[in-house]
Amino acid sequence: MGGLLVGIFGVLVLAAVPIGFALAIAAVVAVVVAGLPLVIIPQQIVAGMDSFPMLAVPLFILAGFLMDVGGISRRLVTLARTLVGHLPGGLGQVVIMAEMFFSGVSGSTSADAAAIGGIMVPQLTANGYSRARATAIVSAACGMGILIPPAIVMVVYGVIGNVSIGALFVASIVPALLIAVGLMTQIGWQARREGWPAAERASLAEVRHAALDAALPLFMIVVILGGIRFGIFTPTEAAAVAVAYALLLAGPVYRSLDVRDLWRKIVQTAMVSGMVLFVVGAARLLGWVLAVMQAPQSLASSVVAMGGGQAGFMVLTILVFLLLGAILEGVPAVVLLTPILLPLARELGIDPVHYGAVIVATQGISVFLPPVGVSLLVACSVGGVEPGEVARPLWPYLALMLGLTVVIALVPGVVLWLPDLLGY
Amino acid sequence: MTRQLRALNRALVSIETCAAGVLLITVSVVVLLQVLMRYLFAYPNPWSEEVSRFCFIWLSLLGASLAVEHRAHFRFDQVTRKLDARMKRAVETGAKVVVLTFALLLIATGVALMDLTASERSPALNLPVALVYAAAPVSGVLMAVHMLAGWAGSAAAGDAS
Repeated sequence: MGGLLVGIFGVLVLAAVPIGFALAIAAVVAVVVAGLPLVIIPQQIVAGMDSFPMLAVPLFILAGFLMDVGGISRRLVTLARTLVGHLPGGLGQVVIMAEMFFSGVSGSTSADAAAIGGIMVPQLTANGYSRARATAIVSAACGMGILIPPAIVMVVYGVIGNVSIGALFVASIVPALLIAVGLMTQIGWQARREGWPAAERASLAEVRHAALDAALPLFMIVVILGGIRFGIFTPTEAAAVAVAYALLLAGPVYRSLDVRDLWRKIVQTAMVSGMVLFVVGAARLLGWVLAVMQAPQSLASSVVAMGGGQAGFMVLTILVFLLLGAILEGVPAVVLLTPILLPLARELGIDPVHYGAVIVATQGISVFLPPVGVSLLVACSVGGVEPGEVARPLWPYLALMLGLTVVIALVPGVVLWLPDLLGY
Repeated sequence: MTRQLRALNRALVSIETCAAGVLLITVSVVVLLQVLMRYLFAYPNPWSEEVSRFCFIWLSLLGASLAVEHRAHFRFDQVTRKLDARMKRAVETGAKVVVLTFALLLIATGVALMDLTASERSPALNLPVALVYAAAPVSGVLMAVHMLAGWAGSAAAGDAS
């Protein structure tokens, strides 16, 4: 039965049936075979969407879109340039730094790739970087940026796995910094070897000016993380506050809000949230039927029987998420695999917060994995290159990110000391 | 027939778009209000969580049907993309039949579920629960119309060429 369902799902996905529908049809087959009542279908799909914590997903997406409309991405890029533009491979460093700032106010990797790529690819190419190189750097930066809170994948993992979203947000900060420093070192090394240009060092006055200019948008991340940590609001409420804050910045403060544009972003957010939640609902339906058939238990015992302990299980997790993340996109992969893998991780004594950070770090690589990663395709359309061309300059960055992800997976302290320090 | 179907689809898309947008604005405002009322008036709002959850369900299902119209759902098309034109067309038709089948199933089972829960009411607002479940069959109808209209449109384009 399990094999039949995996087969149906696999064939439908390969035939380009949307992932949510492929899941739903596999579940319908299971419902029929198991002789369960058909009203389970809408009932479980709606139950998957009936979640106040999950409501943080559309709200964070909307806040990110509004931040982009408000001309905020440009201010963040300017700040990044004054800080790291003079290092070897200056503009490449700026991309990484700018993405660290930007993904702190945005929750979606593809949105980051579009926003940062849209600003930086033209500048990089004007300064002698090839389009493929420029797109590769933007892709690596956005793959790192998925770890910077708030991230949609973390909300989804937290809700489905019943893990503290606030702890997940904080736990991803150190891994994100580790990968960012790694990428910047790598870019600096490449720049010295190949003679990429660097800008002049910005004066202290310029840095101060840029920092003041970007202070209000960056303060939002403090509001979100601080508010959640000190119990002032829940993650969902934090997301609504972020929307109001972004609206305030884009409207009265920066006066760059266009009502028609605002409405377009609202509709776009509604659609993205429908895409995400439909997969969540369909996965919940399938998960429910499988649980009735006691499939997870038999899978669990077979994985545990494989041995390998915590380290083996972590490596298995990374491999599975690399593959499925590239094919299914980050959120569907997490929705599908978390209910199956997280109980096993718990059984092996892996901290669910640590496990979540590893999954999210792996997502950042898999969605940019050539030739099929979804966010890679977004970056390529922004950069105006074919995925095949980007692969060559991108592989070394992805390899570094994968290496660091393995380190993060095997050394729990990297992830857990900050949340421990903050008392999560 | 084709023309009427596409006109109907356009009308439904604009209603659906408006409704989804208004629902998103509503949930944003309600959740924000929940925070404000708790701190400014020390008044934990009893209905705000239920309202926002119900709106969120409708928002998600209308967003899902909008994503059918705009072909935005997550999908993996790297295999079908490489097929030759005839195979590709056949596989794409098959995929459309799958989506349409599920949409019809969602209508039938959704109506059955509404029927089953006709007497249940929500705890905070005392709203009929069937109104929440109604989002499923409505979304199914919208998905089905979007699929059929898209199909009719591409068939008409194919005939013209």
